Amino acid sequence: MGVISAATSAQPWFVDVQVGDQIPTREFGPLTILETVRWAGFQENWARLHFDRDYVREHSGLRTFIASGAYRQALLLRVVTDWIGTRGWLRKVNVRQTSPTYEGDLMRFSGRIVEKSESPADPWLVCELQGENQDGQQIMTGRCTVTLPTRAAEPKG
Amino acid sequence: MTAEASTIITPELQAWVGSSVGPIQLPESLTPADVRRYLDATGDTNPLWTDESVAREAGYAACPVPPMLVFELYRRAEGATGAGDANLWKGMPLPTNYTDTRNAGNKIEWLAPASLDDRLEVRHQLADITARQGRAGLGIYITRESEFRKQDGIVVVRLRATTVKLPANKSAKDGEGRSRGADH
Repeated sequence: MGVISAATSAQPWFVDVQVGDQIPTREFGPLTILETVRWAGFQENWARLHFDRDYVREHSGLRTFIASGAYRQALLLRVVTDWIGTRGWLRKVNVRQTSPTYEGDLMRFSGRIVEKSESPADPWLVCELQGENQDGQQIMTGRCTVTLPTRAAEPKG
Repeated sequence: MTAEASTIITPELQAWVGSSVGPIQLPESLTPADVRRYLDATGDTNPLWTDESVAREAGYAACPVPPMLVFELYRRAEGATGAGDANLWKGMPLPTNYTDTRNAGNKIEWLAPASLDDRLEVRHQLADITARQGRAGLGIYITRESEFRKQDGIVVVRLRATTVKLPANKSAKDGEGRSRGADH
């Protein structure tokens, strides 16, 4: 599906990361009808906005179909969950969908740490998230809170 | 709210704020096919979702499902395979030409992992309905709060999601919503 960057990264540890550290940028696409239909099938979302070119031109006035916002968010969160590793935990995310991803567009997601807990007993980080297309136009913004493991990680249940 | 926005948010529509549905149980438990289709769709190769030994080493009793998967199956509680009355939006008195729907964004909190064979139930509540002017015209922003629980009552996800309804063929302009957070 046009994934350029590498798969899951090595496990980061709370003690080793700092405010300002970057989440590895990942790029997806170009968006085709295969991606949008696969996602629609998983989601059981039959909104024609995501696969029917004639319909979206007529009904929505868009030049072609666009990616589901949830699909883009799933890719964005994949970037986060790959980065935090198997021992990390995604606690919260806040996402704004700001501009569409059209058929043929790329989606590039990045992030950086903007806050870090001062207590290893509660090892949270806040990260700013960003999505843009092949022209550098913003498509999404977000913010997430994750926890990273300390050297003696507790079971999650 | 502008005068135009006040006009489009009628008292009848505003009265929907606070309405709720659920808890509605999803028609099936989480299955390996759900995970496989999610991973196929996203290209996600994280072994945490599929390798029990990796999950145990990470402190889980079983493989968790990916965070977005937990709540993206909610439509199954609305359609032909689920309870029709689980559709919170059915019958909402929107203007008849407001048929274009976009995802404006959300806030999500994950409180516990969900795994295969978990049977989720969902409760939705309409939290807010408002109107704002954008480049595509006057959008109606509908915010719902949803909570997903497992069969043992444990809350796995809380979600606050905003959908914007736009008049058909008026959301045409490329870049609509860029300054308003209103697309797809």
